[in-house]
Amino acid sequence: MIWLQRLTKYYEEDHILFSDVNLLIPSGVTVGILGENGSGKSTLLKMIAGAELPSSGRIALDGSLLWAGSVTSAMNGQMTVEQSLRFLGRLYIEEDRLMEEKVEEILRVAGLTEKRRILWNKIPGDQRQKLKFAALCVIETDHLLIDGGLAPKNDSFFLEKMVERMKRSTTLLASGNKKILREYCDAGIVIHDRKLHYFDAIAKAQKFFESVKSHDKTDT
Amino acid sequence: MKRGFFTRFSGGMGHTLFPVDEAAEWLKQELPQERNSWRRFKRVVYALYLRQLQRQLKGEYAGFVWLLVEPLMMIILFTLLHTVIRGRSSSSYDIIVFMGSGIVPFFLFRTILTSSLRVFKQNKSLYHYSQIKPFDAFVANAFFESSLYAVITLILLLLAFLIGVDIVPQNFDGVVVGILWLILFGVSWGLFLGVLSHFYEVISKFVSFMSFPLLILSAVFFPLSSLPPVPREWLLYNPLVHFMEWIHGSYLATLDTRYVDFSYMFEWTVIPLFLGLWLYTKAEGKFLDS
Repeated sequence: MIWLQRLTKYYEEDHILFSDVNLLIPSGVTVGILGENGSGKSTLLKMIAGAELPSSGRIALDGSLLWAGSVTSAMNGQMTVEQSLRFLGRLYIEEDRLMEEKVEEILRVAGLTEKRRILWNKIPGDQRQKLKFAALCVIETDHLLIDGGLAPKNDSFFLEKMVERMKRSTTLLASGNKKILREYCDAGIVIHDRKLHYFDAIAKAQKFFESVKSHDKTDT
Repeated sequence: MKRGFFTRFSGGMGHTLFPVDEAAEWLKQELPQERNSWRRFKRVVYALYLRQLQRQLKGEYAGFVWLLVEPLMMIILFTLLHTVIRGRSSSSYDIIVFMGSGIVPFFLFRTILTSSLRVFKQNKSLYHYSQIKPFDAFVANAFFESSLYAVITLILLLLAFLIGVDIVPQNFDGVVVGILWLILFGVSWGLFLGVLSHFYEVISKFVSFMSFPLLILSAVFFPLSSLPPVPREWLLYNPLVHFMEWIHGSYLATLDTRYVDFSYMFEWTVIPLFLGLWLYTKAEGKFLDS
């Protein structure tokens, strides 16, 4: 479950993203987040992930969280692929042996077990992407936040794994891709007029989003 | 705006609108605080500590060698100066031990302080992980620098032992307490100035500027008892002098700790610690990437 309590977020006085939002996102659903560009989709995820603070109000979770945008944040040229993954693993898994198993699994899923001793910035970008998505699939958390794609270059092997993974968590998915949202989300949140509007079916959310979009257009 | 109503959702059953009083009830509800648990803190500090260790080991060995050579050179330099000025016979205690037990703890303090001024900014990308708070990076850094100096101390002690210096402290417990307290003292000031320097750049510059005067004015390479009363009184306003006097006096049987004022040390440790913690809780969000 994710609680948003009296959540307000603004950057300057005239740039208000959310104002006094209250929302309870239930456990176990996959929620698509819809909103215009710049309406605060990523900011919402960042705030829930704790990477940015709300201007006022509170956010709480009843369990662990993994945000796709953070997976490779700690990686740098001074650590090998394996060391980087171990660092990531340690943040989520207390027991060392279990952590080692997860690291192995990430390398196996990404198909890069032989690259473990290579420095992170010495492997090509597409392999880093594979490792990122493999980590998202392998590290189990109660909540999962994804902005952007579900798999590197829509690779079907990763996509399948990711869909399985999303079923095991409360997932928030911010994507501009209508097809992806419709296919994989149960519920939807529409960001409109500084509020979050929750719908228990993604189809309803998309319908509402389209209607406010066309409404806004006729307004101006 | 529909003030007075808000939407509540549960069990995936869709949304319903609740009237104001019920909304007020729900707003008062205690929210879970998993993010701040002690277990999370330990796990994160451990991971950050190992990360910093790996980076140190991966980095150039020249870096570590310099960490070792810098205090070593200073010990040799001050020992030579002392011997030239005073002559060998004038000192009743072992001058190398005196210099070592002053310079290495001073460097430890200085390193904790100056690295704390960098640590909040340096680890910025790590705050993307929901479990890592800037404070965790600060604590992990203090542990790391302390353990680095533990290794340096052991190597220097071994070197001294090999050339025949009597390295056994007269009051072992006293030395250990003194160094641990000095670490805490450095952590307090590191936190306080580290948070402040995030807002006032000039503080970092001031600290690096003060580094050398502090070395001279902290009774690192001379005992207070060697000074005339007036400058001695003045130097005693510097809290670091008390730490140095305590460590020197505990290490060497021929010196004592008569000038050490524990309550003065305590005040100068606890006040910045609480100020630092208070400022940190106020400013935590400012360290995050925005």
